[in-house]
Amino acid sequence: MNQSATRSLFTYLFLVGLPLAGLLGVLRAGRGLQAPPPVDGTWQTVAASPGAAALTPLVPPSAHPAQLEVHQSGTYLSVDVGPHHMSGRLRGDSLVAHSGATGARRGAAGCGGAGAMELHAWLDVDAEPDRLTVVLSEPGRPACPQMRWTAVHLAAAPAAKGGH
Amino acid sequence: MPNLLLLLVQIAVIVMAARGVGLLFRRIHQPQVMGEMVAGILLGPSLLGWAWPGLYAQLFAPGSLGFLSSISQVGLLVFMFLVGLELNPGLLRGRGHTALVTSHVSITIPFFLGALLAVFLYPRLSDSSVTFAGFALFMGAAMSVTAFPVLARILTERQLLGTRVGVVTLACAAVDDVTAWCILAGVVVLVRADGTGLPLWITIAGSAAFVLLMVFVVRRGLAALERRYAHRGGVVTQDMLAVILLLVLASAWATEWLGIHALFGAFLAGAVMPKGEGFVAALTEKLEDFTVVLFLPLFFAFTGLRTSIGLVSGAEMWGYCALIVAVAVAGKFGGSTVAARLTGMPWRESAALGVLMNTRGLMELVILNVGLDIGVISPALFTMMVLMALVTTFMTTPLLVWIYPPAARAARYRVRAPGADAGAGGVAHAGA
Repeated sequence: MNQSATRSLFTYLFLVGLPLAGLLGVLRAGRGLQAPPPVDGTWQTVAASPGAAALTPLVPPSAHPAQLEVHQSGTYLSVDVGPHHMSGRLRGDSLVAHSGATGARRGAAGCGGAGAMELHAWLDVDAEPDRLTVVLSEPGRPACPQMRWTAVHLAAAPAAKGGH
Repeated sequence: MPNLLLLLVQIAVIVMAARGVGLLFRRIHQPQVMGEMVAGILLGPSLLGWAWPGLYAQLFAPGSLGFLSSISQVGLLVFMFLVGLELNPGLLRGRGHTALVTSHVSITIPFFLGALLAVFLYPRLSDSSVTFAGFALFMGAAMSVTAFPVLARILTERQLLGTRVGVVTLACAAVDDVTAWCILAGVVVLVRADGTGLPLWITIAGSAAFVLLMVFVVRRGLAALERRYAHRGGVVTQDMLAVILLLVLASAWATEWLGIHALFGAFLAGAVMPKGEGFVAALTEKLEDFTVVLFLPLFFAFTGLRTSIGLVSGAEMWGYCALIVAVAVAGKFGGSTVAARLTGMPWRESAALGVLMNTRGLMELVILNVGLDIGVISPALFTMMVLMALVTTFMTTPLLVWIYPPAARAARYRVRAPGADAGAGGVAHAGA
């Protein structure tokens, strides 16, 4: 075997064999990695929690029962509930999302509408189907009632098929 | 029933945007397809949907996208058939150990780096409905693909097709694409194994049996078709074309039914076609223009509709995007350059080869759409990878001009390329 062919052979063994061995190592090491739970899709309200404020002030009647649409990319979320579009994070089994106040109605009187909204939700994956306990509030308006309700996971969001 | 008026308007807008933006990109010496990919994204939520939401909602109403998607998928099947058709196993023959080593290294190194990147991205951008193995293998496959069709066009435009760099690059890209598609088929099977559909053993055994059927049985039948073509004085008749298209559809149906995606069937149908130069050129001429002018822009638009740059928000996510681009470039450019150099190619030519192999373009978009369809990547990660495909394709031409300008190409490296009559212009062999 000439020098050039020998060099090619060692190059091949080194540059092909080593990455393949590394790949096996990566796959093995990655088995222990934890990804966030899947929350992507439609969450259908099943019941307002006991003692909760009525849904009406913050969600138009036409949206009853309130649905949550969650678009998930790992720990990054965008959440649509009623007219509100929020972005947030999933940390462990809790979701936190915020929307900013829309300019035209910033500071306007009245709860809901275009004010800044905050959503907290806690995921129960042991339930079948998965359940979410949701609290929706307006952090800048303590007089506005919080909304609390429970939702169940219906289906994956249609975003993957045709864009948001 | 589709809203026909809306569908016609959609198609017209998409084709006009593709040609228009493609023309702009040609003015800056970028390939037409680069402009078409960008046009698709501009028509989506990233620009049109953001700047003119009312117009966007009317033009691309969610209920109307199913028909657009179906048409673009059929067009993509034809395109994948053409990709398989252009792949010639003879590309590797006589190219020596440089092509063999470089082609395999240009897969393994980016594949490994993609899987390594998955270790970082999985806990951040995926969810537990996807296994790490499926995610990592997909990221590896997505990182290791090269845009064989775009590459061929760049090589033709830069008059590199007859050079050693061009010939070796084409051979490596062909091997890369076939390998990446095979790996992607495995990933699709792996990811879909937990869902509905055929049992895994049927998918694997059925796929293997189908490939053997296509290679050893159907291919022989197609040789008869080529003889008929020659007998008819080098003309592909409409009947022949109908038979071939039916084969493409049947093959695509079979692989979709088996659970490994229709695109593989279309690609396989092209790969088993006879590779006689005249026959391939005649078939390509019949199908390519219509596919490239009409169907591909529809696919790019559909990709653009699924690409929302707004999903990549905040320094953290843009950091991930930059990391993806960096890993992609390091794997393909770095791996290919080093491999070519270690097999004796001069540094300049090795770097030129690395730059060319880094072109991901359309093939990357096809793979990413498959990944999004089967749910192995999230919409934000899809967007980041699309941006990576655009960046790596965009950087090819200017880097190539800088690293390997025409003046640097020595006459002693010019060799006769296989299929040199396909627009490259034959170049006299001057000895390697």
